[in-house]
Amino acid sequence: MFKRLNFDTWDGWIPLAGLLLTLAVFIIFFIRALRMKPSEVQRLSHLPLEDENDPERKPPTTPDHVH
Amino acid sequence: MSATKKTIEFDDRTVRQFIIATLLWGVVGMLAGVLIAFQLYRWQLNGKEFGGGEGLEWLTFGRLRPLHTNAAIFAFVGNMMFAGIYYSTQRLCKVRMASDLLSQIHFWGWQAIIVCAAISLPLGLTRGKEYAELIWPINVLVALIWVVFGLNFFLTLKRRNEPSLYVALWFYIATIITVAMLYIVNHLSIPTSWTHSYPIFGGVQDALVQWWYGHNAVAFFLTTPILGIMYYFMPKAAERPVYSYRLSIVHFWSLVFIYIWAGPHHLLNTALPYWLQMLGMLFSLMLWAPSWGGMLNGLLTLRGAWGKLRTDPVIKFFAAGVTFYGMATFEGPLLAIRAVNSLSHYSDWTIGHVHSGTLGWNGFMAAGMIYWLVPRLWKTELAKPAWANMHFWLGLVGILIYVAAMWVSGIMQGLMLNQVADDGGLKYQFLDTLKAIRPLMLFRAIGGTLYLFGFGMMVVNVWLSVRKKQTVNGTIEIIHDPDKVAKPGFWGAIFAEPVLFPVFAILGYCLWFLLPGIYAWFGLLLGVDMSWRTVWLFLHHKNRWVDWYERLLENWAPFSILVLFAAAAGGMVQIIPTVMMNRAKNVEDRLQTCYTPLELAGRDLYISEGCYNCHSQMIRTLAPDVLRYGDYSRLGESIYDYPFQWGSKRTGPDLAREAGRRNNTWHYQHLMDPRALSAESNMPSYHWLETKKTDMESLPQRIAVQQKLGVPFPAMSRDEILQNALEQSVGIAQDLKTNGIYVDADRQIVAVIAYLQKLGKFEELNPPEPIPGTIIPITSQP
Repeated sequence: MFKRLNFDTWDGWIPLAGLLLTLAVFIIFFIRALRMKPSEVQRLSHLPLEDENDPERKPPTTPDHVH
Repeated sequence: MSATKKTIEFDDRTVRQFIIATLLWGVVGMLAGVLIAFQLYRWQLNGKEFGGGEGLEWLTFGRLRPLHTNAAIFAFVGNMMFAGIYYSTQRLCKVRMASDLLSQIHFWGWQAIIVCAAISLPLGLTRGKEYAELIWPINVLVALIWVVFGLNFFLTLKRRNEPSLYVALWFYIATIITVAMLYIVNHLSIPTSWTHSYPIFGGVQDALVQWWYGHNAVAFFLTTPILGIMYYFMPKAAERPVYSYRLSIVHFWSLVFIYIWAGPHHLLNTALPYWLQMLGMLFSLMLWAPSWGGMLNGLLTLRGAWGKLRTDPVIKFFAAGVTFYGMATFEGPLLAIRAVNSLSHYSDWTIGHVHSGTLGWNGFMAAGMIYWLVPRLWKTELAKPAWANMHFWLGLVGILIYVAAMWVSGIMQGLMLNQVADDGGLKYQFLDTLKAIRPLMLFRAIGGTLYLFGFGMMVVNVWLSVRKKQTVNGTIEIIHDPDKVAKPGFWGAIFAEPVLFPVFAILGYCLWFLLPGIYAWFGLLLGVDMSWRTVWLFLHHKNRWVDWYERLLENWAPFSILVLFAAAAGGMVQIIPTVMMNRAKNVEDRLQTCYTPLELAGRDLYISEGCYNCHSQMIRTLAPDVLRYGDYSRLGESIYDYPFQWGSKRTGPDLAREAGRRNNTWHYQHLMDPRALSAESNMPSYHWLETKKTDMESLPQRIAVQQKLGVPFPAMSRDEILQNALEQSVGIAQDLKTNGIYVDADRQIVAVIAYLQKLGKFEELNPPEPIPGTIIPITSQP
């Protein structure tokens, strides 16, 4: 075992720090996602459906609700 | 400036080329997979039944298995994802790819790489690291072609006519950046010739870097681009938007951030430092959440379109593909729990898990995408829709047979290997377990054959659909308004308060932790002050956060940098402390003895033959492993192994302590005819090792490179190296002669025997200390 890496304390605090960091990232983006304007959400989610000139393509279905 | 109306024609030629390549290489990769599956059941298929006497060296399992994995990952899924990325990026950005020339260089360059791999791997030219086997000149080519791809992609983003970046593009950005980072770091090598090199990492460092790469190759080559494809093509097929765009945001950031930390779960219960194992396990468990978030988002996109499931093969494939993604990402974290891993690791369970991902998730998403794209790219209808449905059912049944067989095989073998008899010894020999799972190997091969047959139906169906048809490039009419297109705004997005405050807060806390005395308090003060400012900004100026985030979504460069940080964080925490260590000086307990020149030559042959595909060299800190193979492996015992050979699957027994366990004659006979000594063995015969000469001439160069890497070979001249190798090989040949075996000393088999007789030799440094979280050593009872 590497002497410098064999600290008992590393066992405890590295996973804990990793967990806290991940929770922070998760919470930040969760809040950010929740706070998006509904109109922006609708516009972005429809981007794949508004593409090329295809006369045979049916018009996109309007979603009954926006998430 | 006024708005103008213009028509843009997309570059769909490149998309068509990648689709054809996907079909072609898919057949090659799966054919190789089916062949090696049958080889496990029937050893004669290692060339003997193709007229190769006792076997053909370029047709053995050890050489073909890397061909199968590389073809499936980089050729089949690689071409498929490029097709999806080229098609969807142009439409989401409302612009043609930046450069047709770069697109063509990318396509033909990638095919050249695959052809080089298909030739070099069966010839035994390999780096000896899983999914990173290709030799260094091909590695350089891969890096160059990836840069071409990335350049073309990012230039396209720069020229786009749609200001916002749809979530699929985020996944593509993460793929391009992270794969580049992973590939370059794990392929850093020092060449010894045009076809051979040694990685710059060795032993445990190499193991950590390898599985940081290996696990994230799954994450960022087989998952993120396919998720991007899911977010684009599923709404297209279902003709409705993604279920929750908000969920896709949380899905993306949490997945990209968490995935990169999980690599050490491939090394549980090994000599890897315990904190790294814990970190790998913990982050693997956390992966459940984002993976299932994405899976549910995909499946729920089909809400209201479930009726199509009965008739539309595209929806069938997508729904099943996403379901397999959910299954595989449930099973992955489960296998990463140390207790479960002690049973599943090195067994077929892992193989089943991997194939539910590649066949189910990647393969079915590829099929859905191809069935959706082909009629549009060739302006035609699918020639045989019924065949597409048949393909689905054959594929599904094939996967289920395959995966179920591997689950049963893995769990059964794991339980048998761990079983202890009443006398405290092991109940089963390794060969007993091999015999027990042999019928399941047949089921696996049958499942794979069914899947391949279904895939073949798609190839023929596509051929019948597109032959003699005119190709069509998609077009789009846009209103080009320069004022509405995203401004670069790079520095504005980077040097914004919502970025600067948290960054300085983290920096402050790091200083508090790292600096001594009064300086530490300065760090704490900075951290607290910046944290307070971050909270204050959020509470009182929410708009600045909103503006920053929306600016970020419209500026690919700072967005990409943020992705790079998110993806690199885990790797840095895990790898940098381990790699920065002066390794041998800090090893405790046991230190590996250096190889002799002949042993090194034998080791390179062992790697070249792909022995690591079936034999591990790592006795885990588990009682059954110790009982079967000897004292558990210490970190220092593989410290001079470039590359490491801990392995990931035991079709044969572990070899970590093979030295002195059996005599030279046994090894000779076993290599020449494994079944002469082990009746149930499915190992190929390596009879060509007796006729081919060992490459002694290259040894001085190989040793010089190893010395550069820090391996303490004694100073020897070229002649001394050759003389040393000759003397040792003559000794082994003489020993064989006493048992009636006449073999020239310069033959490869002698070098391989020398290597096998070295495995497990070490020097004791100081009395062993118990390692936290490991079992107390048990006396070996081999």
